[in-house]
Amino acid sequence: MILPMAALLLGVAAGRLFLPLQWMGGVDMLISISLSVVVLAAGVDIGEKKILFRKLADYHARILAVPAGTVIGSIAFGCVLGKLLGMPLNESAAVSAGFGYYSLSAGVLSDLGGASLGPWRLCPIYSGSCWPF
Amino acid sequence: MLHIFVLVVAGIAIGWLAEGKERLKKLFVAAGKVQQAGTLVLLFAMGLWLGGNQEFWSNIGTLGLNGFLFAAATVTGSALCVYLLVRLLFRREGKA
Repeated sequence: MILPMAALLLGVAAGRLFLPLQWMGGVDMLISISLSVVVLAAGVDIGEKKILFRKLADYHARILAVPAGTVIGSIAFGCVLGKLLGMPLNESAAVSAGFGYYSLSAGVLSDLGGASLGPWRLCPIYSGSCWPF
Repeated sequence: MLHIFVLVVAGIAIGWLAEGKERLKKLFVAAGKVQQAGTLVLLFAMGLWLGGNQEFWSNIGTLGLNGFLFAAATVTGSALCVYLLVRLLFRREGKA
């Protein structure tokens, strides 16, 4: 927990103090590349744990109550909050759909959202309902 | 966006096929380390992106507040919904 936070804060400080504006494209590329590497490695990690798939069969569909509840609850409450804050529904749903994968969701949103998500796309870095990393 | 899904599926396929093979044990150790190191690089890069973004610094108060509100709303919503669903689905099982 401390190490990821330190990496983020170090990045913010370095970006504020040293980063030339013309290097922002390079930063975007670094985000894309590291995101791809993390996602591939996470996939290998999941595929290796065949026991997870066996557990899924043992508990039948009921075990999906946890992920389904997380998805429904996060997005529903996020959308209500977005409505209160005057955000478009698709943006608040996208920001709420990170489910704690802050390293993944913020990267994907910056990739997808571009200017259309405006300053809101900076939010997902804080959002999420669990902290798997 | 599509490449993210392709990479996850490819990773799962690699992990699935390589599981149990003694020679490939190192692959999983490497995958774990790569995941941790990659996450740190990713967070550092996102920090750079935020730090170098003027829009971020001029809206930092609003963004911080909204970020906090989104975190609180999604945590509350998911915990509540999972609690209700688990109660509903697993209590019936207990009684049966």
